[in-house]
Amino acid sequence: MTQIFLRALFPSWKFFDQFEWFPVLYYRVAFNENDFSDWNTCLKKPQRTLVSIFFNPNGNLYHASNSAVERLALEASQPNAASIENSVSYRIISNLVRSKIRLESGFRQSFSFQFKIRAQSKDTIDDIFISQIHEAQ
Amino acid sequence: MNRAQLALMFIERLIALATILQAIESISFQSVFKKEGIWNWQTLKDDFLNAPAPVQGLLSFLFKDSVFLIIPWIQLITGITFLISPSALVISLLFFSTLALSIRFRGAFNGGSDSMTLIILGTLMIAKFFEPSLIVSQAALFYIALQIVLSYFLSGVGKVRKSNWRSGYALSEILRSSYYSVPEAIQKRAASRLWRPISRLILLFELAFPLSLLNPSLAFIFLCMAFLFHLANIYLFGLNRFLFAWLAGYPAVIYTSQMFM
Repeated sequence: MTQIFLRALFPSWKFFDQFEWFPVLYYRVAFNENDFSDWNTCLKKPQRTLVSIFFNPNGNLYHASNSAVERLALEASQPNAASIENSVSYRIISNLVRSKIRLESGFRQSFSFQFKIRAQSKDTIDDIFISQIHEAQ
Repeated sequence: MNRAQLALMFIERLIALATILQAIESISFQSVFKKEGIWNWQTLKDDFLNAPAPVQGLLSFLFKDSVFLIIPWIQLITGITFLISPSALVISLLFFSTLALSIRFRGAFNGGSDSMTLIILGTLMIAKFFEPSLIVSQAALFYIALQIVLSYFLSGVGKVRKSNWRSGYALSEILRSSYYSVPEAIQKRAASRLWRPISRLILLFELAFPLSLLNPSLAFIFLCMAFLFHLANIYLFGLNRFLFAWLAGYPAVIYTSQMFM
């Protein structure tokens, strides 16, 4: 509790600290049984205009979603990651992918999907996490 | 009105403006909080399984879908009210509605700007409760100034420790990646040697920022540079909330620099 209080009073103020690699979220979907699509990137870069200086909800949601992906990537790399599928971070990303597919498929309700996190750096690309296959009803 | 009260008044107006803009954004994406939304309460409540029962009860009530949708509206209304008529009660509501939104995103929604917004709101809230105490007003201004200075300085310290930041390679990598929604025109030029001196200038600016407290002229120069730095961050990365949260703290830096003189 004291630690949380001190962290709130004096944040670490680290920005752009992590740049060696970046986590990128991919998903694939099957509207028919096991007939999966190719892997697609999930988060699309939002457009910015001058108005974005004052009002940038899509840009800020994009950042929040990326932070959630980064958090899952970090948690999945921990030694006790066996129960990662039950974690809040995993379920948030699962919700994110499900919402994305629903939106892009004209709100179809029934499909299977899977997601993965790819670590991308200048020279390497590694899949660092692959989810279970989920059924959306 | 003394100078401390004047500085606090400017901070109050600017942070009210920042929270109004944040609230309008939150209202526009309320669907993420609903039952089928990404950050729905059913998913998030497991974060609080170890919290004491009264806290769990309070959060379960506050964060259930039908109640939580009101929170951004409370933030908007209290933000507007605080802009017109600042009072301890209004800023308390503004602080707790902003805190609730931050918790709902697990502290991840524009993390740094949430922290600065809450630090300024929390400090102003305490100052309001002790109004018109000059000592508390001065302490509040000093604390906000300290956080503004630390935010640049510690960020610079973190970067200067990494050789890739010193060489300019890190900035090129950040601009090249799709992680920060960098405009394509800039992404294509990410490998340019131009970024190396810019990278070093950023380091120099951040590490030298504590000098802003030495006198008001230096403070003004550093704050103008900081303002341009945040504008560049909006253009390059879309980090608009940082500009308004940090801008609200600038009067505290100017006031504190006068104290040091």
